[in-house]
Amino acid sequence: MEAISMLLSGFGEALTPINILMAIIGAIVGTLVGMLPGLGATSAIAILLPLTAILGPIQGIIMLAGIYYGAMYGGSTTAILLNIPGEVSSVPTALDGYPLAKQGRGGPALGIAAIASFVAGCLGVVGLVFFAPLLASQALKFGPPEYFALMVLALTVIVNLAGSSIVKGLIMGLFGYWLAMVGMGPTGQMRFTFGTESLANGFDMISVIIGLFAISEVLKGMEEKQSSISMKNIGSVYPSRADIKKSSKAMLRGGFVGFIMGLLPGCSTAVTTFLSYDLEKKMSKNPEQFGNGAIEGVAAPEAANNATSSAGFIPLFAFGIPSSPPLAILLAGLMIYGLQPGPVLFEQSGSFVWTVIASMFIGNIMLLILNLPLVGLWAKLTQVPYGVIAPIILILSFIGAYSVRNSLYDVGIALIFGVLGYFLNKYQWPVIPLILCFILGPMLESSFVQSMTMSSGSFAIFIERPISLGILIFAVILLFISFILIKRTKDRVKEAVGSDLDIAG
Amino acid sequence: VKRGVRSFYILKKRGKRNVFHKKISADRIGGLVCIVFGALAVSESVRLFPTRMDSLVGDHTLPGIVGVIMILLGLLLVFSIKGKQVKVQFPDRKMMLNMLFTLILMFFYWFLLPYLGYVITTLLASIGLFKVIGSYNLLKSSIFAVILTVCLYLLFIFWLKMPFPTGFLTI
Repeated sequence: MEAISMLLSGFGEALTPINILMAIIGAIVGTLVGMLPGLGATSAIAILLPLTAILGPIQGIIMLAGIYYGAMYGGSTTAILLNIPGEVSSVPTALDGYPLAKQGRGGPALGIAAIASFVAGCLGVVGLVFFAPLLASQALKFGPPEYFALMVLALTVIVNLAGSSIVKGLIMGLFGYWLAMVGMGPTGQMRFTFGTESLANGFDMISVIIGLFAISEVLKGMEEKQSSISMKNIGSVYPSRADIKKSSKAMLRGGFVGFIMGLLPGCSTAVTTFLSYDLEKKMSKNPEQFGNGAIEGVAAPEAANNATSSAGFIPLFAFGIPSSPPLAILLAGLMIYGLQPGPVLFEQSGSFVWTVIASMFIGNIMLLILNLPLVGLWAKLTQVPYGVIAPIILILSFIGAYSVRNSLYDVGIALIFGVLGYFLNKYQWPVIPLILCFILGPMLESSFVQSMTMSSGSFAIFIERPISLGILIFAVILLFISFILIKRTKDRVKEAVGSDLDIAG
Repeated sequence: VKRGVRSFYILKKRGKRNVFHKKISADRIGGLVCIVFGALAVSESVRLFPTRMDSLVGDHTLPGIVGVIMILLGLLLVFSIKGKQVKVQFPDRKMMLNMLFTLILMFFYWFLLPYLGYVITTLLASIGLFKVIGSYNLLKSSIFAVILTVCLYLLFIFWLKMPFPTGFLTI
């Protein structure tokens, strides 16, 4: 009941004109970047993060969250109309969405995708309302050893985000820690500065993120041919009653699978969309229709995608563990705003969390209201040439990196990491573990050092305390589950597209 | 990921492969770089060890742990995962030159900003970027650049009052 009353007060705050405006802008920008070539949710959030700092924490995070789930929806449009999924998680949508588009039923497929996203997004947020405080209620029992155990749990996410090689993922994670250690240590000693004054403040998180995601993304985009969306013969975007009836159960099942799996820290949308697609195919009376234009084959993965995206906020808010790259950037955003995601977030910044959760409902409604009638407009906007978009992204990245500390040194770091990110991507070194460990590094170190101080140097402190021990056991179990799920998803991706793809997204 | 999936599908659909393949034992080189970074971390840990509060409490702890694991994983990559070839596709020469010019422009933008000021450098960098990335003629590039610079000026300087360097000309 307390959760409901907090949610209602969150709605009171979220329904102010400025917050509604931010949710709308976020949803629109997110949809656009989801459809536009050359800009994903991660890089869009990275570029806009320093700029939203001017807005204040609530408006800023509402807008960034809107971009996140807007981009999830936007990605499905290119999957259905062009057979080009923006993310691996949209591959199952393309399996049936594109055949539907070829049959002249692209419109209803888009409509079902939007409705499924809305239904599952709302289900996910309802789950968030009830689950997150439950987990966060343990807040007062958390001390440094429990936080350290949480950081270890977060590291299991690397397995999901490592891409093609776990060893490379681990090395990149360690490199992230390495970078995070540059500057002043927890007991006041300068580290890795090599006598250089400019390194004393360490690397700014946003500069590194902008470099690795936005600038390198533009470089990658330059070498690829871009496609614009054709709107010929897609039919009405409003699905028929029969389509809705046919896909309603698929939406609920997909939403349920997406939500439950999304609760596991680090479970990516790629895993849940394939799982829900396969589940729907198994439960269907006409499994032979899957792959040839079954509307349920669009509804289930889209629902799973959005439910997982919403559920991802639970480990993020309750534990400070991001389950996808955009959420890792959001975590950085929360920290910039002076908020500490984790068990105490609900205690210390309850009003903030509930306003953001309430705004998600509003954002999902906005997505549904705006997206169906505006599909044509979005498609036209994707026809803006990359030669126009790319310079704008680069200049915005430059300003974004500068604006955090008004420092040209940070801009230089962003440029260097942009070049580094391009080559890391080329040679298949995953950058997400680097960012995750770079963000979590200081917290891991301080909780470890504090725990060691408490125990006079004994490691037993981590297994003597029940919550800490429980989290560590959960981390080991999750590691095994992650291995199994990742292997299964990789096999399915290979089966679906005929080649290995990085499923980290 | 997004770019990867998109590029895979585009290549698959169009059957175009205007890229050349280059095989290189990149993982092994990566392993060596990892060992170097690990060694740096260990040396930093050794340097900081005298400032410790306890054997495992101090600023030396994490550098030491990270350094040792990096060296071990680096060795694993160099010796155990033998000769794993990473197939790297770089674009053609013209595109590589365009990418290089883009980066040079961005570094010039960064270097000249304190001297020429935000407005002038943004305008110049934008003209260059539109010309290099979009292959537009000078007139079109200049028009796009003026529109972009004005929009950014209105947004960041006029509305958000962000302090940017004004350079010698104080613009």
